[in-house]
Amino acid sequence: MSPLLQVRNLEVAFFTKDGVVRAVNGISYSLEEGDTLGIVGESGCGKSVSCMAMLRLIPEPPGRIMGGQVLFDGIDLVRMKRDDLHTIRGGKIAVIFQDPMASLNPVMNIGEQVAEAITVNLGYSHRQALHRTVELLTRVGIPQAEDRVKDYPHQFSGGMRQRVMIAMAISCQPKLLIADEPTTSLDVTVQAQIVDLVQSLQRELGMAVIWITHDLGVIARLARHVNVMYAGFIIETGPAKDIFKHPHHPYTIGLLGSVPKPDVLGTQTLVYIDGAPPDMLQLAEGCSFYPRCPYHTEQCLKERPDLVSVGDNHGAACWNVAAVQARLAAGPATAGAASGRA
Amino acid sequence: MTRAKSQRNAPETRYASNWVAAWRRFRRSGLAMFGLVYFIIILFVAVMAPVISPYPYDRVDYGITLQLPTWQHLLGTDYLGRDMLTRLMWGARPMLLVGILTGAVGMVIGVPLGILAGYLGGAFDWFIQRLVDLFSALPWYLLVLYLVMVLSPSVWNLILALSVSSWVGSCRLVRGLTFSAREYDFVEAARALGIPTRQILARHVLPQIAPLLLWGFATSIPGSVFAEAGLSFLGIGIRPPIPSWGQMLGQAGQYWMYYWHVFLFPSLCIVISVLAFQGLADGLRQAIDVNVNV
Amino acid sequence: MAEQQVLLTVNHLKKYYPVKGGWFGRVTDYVKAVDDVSFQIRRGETLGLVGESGCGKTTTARVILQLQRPTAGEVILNGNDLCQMQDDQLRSLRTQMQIIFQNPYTSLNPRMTIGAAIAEPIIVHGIAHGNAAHERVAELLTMVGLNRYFAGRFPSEFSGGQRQRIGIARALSVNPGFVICDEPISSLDVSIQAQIVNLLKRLQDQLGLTYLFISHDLRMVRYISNRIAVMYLGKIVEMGQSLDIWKKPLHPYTQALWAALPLPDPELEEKRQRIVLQGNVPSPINPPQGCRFNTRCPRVLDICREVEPPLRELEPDHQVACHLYDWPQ
Ligand SMILES: Nc1ncnc2c1ncn2[C@@H]1O[C@H](COP(=O)(O)OP(=O)(O)OP(=O)(O)O)[C@@H](O)[C@H]1O
Ligand SMILES: Nc1ncnc2c1ncn2[C@@H]1O[C@H](COP(=O)(O)OP(=O)(O)OP(=O)(O)O)[C@@H](O)[C@H]1O
Ligand SMILES: [Mg+2]
Ligand SMILES: [Mg+2]
Repeated sequence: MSPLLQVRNLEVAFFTKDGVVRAVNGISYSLEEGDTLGIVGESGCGKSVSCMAMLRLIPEPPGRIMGGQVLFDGIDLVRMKRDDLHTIRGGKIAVIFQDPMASLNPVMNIGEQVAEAITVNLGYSHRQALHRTVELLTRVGIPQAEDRVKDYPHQFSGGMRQRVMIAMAISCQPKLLIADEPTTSLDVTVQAQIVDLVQSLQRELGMAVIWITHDLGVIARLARHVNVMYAGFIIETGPAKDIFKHPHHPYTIGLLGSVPKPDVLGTQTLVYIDGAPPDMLQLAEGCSFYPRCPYHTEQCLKERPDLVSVGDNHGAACWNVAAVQARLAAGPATAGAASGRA
Repeated sequence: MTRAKSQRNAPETRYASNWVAAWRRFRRSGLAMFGLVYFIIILFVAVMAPVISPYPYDRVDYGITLQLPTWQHLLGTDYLGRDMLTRLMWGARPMLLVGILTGAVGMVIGVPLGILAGYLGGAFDWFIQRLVDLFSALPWYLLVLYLVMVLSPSVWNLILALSVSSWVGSCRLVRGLTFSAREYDFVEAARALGIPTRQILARHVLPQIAPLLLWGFATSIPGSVFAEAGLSFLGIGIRPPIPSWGQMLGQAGQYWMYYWHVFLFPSLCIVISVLAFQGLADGLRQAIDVNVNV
Repeated sequence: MAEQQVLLTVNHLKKYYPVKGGWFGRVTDYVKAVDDVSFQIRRGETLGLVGESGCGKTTTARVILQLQRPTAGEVILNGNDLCQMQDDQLRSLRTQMQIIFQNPYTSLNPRMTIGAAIAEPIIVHGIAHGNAAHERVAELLTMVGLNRYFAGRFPSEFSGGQRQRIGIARALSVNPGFVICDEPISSLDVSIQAQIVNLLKRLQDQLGLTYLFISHDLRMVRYISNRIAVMYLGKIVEMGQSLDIWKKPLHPYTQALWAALPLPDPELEEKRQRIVLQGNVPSPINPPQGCRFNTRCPRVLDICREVEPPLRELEPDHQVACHLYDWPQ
C-alpha cells in the first residue's frame, strides 16, 4: 500500500524586497495512515511554511512553490486546481494553529462557528450541525457544552479555544491533522491536556498527525517519527526513539544537549549550540549549519551534504557522521560545545 | 524574520534605513508630497515677500480700485487699488507665524505638563486632567475673542490667545503617549537601574514619543490657520494695513458679488493651505507609523 | 537558616490590583496577584519561582524591586526594609538589586546605542566617569560574551540572544548582589536558551550573584536553582530544595506540573504515569474558597473547600501548603 502522504523535493521561496527567502529547500518524506510525525527546528527554519505549502496556504505572492510534489492519497496537491483544494482542506486534511484567537471570529458565538464549518464541509442542516457541535465540544472536553456554545471566543481561555479548534478540525473526520505548534502559548498543565486529547482522538479516529513544535519534550511524548529541520532542509530524520537515543547530526546533538535531562544536576554545564540561527536570505553553498558546527571540515563549506542512511529508516545530512560518532563516544560532555564559550 | 535580518550587521545603515523607510512611506501619499512642496514654497514666499512681491503691500491707488486681473496686477487689485498678489504674498506671513507659533507655544506648555501627568500619574495627573477638561469644555472661540479684545489685536496677542486652548490638545496627546511609554520594558528597566525621573523622561520617554509629537504639531497647524483667518475676517485678528488672508476676505465682503477676484483668491489660499498642512500631517503619520511601535 | 546568610527576606507580601466596574468606575473587586507570599533567599543561591501564566510571578518580581509598591508586607534586602523607603532612598539601593527582562526586543531603548544604555547607570550612580566608564562598558560586554566594539551599535542590529546578553550586561553594570531573572530565556530559540542559562550560571560563580529565577520552563528552573518555590494563584504552595521538590513533590499541584512536563526521552515518556489536571486556572479576582487548588485537585478533601492550608515545614527545608499532610500518615 502506498503511504497516505508523500512529499517529494518540495521547494518554497518568498520573493521579498530584501531578497529571496529560500524557506523550504527540497524536502522529502512520507507518512503512513494513522502515523505521527513530529517536525522540530528553530524559529524560521521552515516548519510552518513546508506544511502550509502542501495545502497551498502560503500567500502568493510573495511566496511561490518552486517545485516538488505532494502526493496525498495518490493525488498531487501542488498541481491541483485551486478550486478543487477545498475538498481536501478542512475535509481530508485539517489544520490547527498556534494562536486559536486568530482563527476564530470574535463576534460570532462558538456554536455558530463550529456548526458553520460542519454545514459547509458535510452538508448538514443547521439543526443537525448544532447538535453535532455539542457532541464534538463535549468530546474535546468542554464542560456543559450545551450552554457554552452560546459563548464568544473571548469568554474562553486559551486552552478551551484550542479545544474548539480541535473540535472543528475533527468535525469531518480528517485523515491527516496538521498541528502547527498548537500548545506553544499554553501553560504546561493545559499543554498536557491538549496533547492527551489529540492522542486519544487519533487512536479513536485513526487519523495521521503532523505535529510541528520546537519543544523536544512534546515530540518525545507523541511522535513516532521525527524530522529535524534547519534552514529549510531536513537535516535528520528517523524514528523518535533512535533520534533521541542516537542523534547523528551535530545540530540534533546540540539541540538535545540544550535541554537539561531530568537526572542532570545544575553542577554540570549544559551542552549547547554556539552562534545564532542562520540568515534565510543568504543561504550558504555548503552545509547551512557549518558556521555553528564544532565538527566542520573543509568539505562542509563547499558542498551541501545529502541525507545518508545511519540506521534503520534513520538518515542524517552530514559529511562527518562517523567522525561525530567517534567524538561522541570519546567524551559526551564535550559534544556539540567544542567551540563553546558561554 | 527580524532576527534573521538583524544578523547582518551593517552598523550605521540599519539606523539610517529607518529614515529612508519613513521617507518612502511619506512619499507614497500624493497629498503628503503636495503638502511638503506647498510648505516649502509658501515658506519661501513668506520669507522673501519684501523682495519678490511686485509692489509695496500698502500702496494705495484710487485710480485702479477693484481691477480684475491684468498684466500689471496679475490677481487684480482690491477696493483701495492695492495689488492683490502682493497682499496675498504678505498674507502668508501671519498665516505661517500664527499656524506654527501657536502649535509651538501649545507644545511648550502642553508637553511638559502632559509628560509629567502621564508619567507621575496620581494627584498631579488628576489635577492636569481636570484642567484639560475645563479648557476643552470652555467655548474657546469666545475666550479667544475676549482675550484678543482685551489685549488689543496683534499677531503676538493672537498667538497668545490661541495658545490658551492649543496646549490642551498637545497635553492630552503627550499624556496618553507617556502613559503607554511608561509600560515599556526599557522604561521600567531604567527605573530599576535607579535612573532619576528627569533623565528617564528626557532620554527614554521623550525620544520615543518625539515622532508622534511632530505629527501632533503638524495636525494643529490647519486649525490655527483657520482660526487666524476667521478672527482676521471678523476684524479682531491681524490689524490693517498688515495684510492677512482672512482680513482680505473680510474686506471683500461688500464687493464679492461683482468682483469675484477679491473673494476667490484669498479663499483659495486659505483652503489650499489648510489642505496642504493636513496632507503633510497625514504623510507624517504614515511615515512614523512603524517606528513608533518599538 | 542562619541569619547572616540570608540576603533577601520577603514577609507576607501582598499586591492587590483594584478592578473598576459599575457605573462610576468604582472599585468593585481586587485581582489578588500576589497574596501573602513569604520566602527567604540566601547569599549566592538561586531560588527558582515556577507557576503557570498569571499566577503572579512577574508581580512578585516587580513588588520586590519596588517598581510597584506592595499592598502589604515586608521586603528586607541586606537588612533594609525596602517597602518603608522613600523613592530617592531606594534609588541608591538599586545598585544592590537588578532585573533581567523576558523580552529582549522591548527591554532595550531602540534609540540608544548599547554602549550608552550600559554606561547610563554607571554614570548616574557615580561608579565611573569618562574614559573609565567606557572601559567598564567594554569590560561588561566582554564578560557577557560580546565584542567590546559593539558599544556603538543600536539594539536593532542584534539578535534576540545577543540582546539578552546586552540586558544582562546592563543589569550587572551597577555591581548588584541580587538579580531577578524574569523568564530570561522564554522568548529565545531553544539552541540559544542554553547559551544564556550557561552564561547566567558562569556569572553567578564569577561574581557571587544571588538569583531569583522566574520561569515556566520547569526543566531549566530545576537545572539552575538550588531551591524552588511553586506558585499557584498568587500563593506559594510548595518550597524546598530543588532535588527534593523534583524527586519528592508533595503538593498535588507540583506533582501534576511535573507529570505534565514532557521529557525529551520517548522511552521515559512511555513508562511515565500521567496526572492530567482537569480544567483551567481560575481567575485571581475571586479565587476559590479554602485551598485555591481545590477546583482542579485530583486528591481533594472536604476540608480543602473550606479551610485554606498554611505553608508548613514538613521536612527540613521543605514546606508545603496542603491538607493531605495535616496528620502524620
Ligand atoms: N509571507 C512571508 N513573506 C516572506 N517570508 C516569509 C513569509 N512567511 C514565511 N517567511 C519566511 O520563511 C521562513 C520559514 O518560516 P516558517 O514560518 O516556516 O518558520 P517556522 O519554522 O514555522 O518558525 P516558527 O517556529 O517561528 O513558527 C522564515 O525565514 C520566514 O522569514
Ligand atoms: N497592572 C495590573 N493591573 C491589573 N492586574 C494586573 C496588573 N498586572 C498584573 N495583573 C494581573 O495579576 C495577575 C498576575 O500577573 P503576573 O504578570 O504577575 O503573572 P505571571 O505569573 O508573571 O504570568 P506570566 O507567566 O504570564 O508572565 C494576572 O492575573 C494579571 O492579569
Ligand atoms: Mg511556524
Ligand atoms: Mg510574567
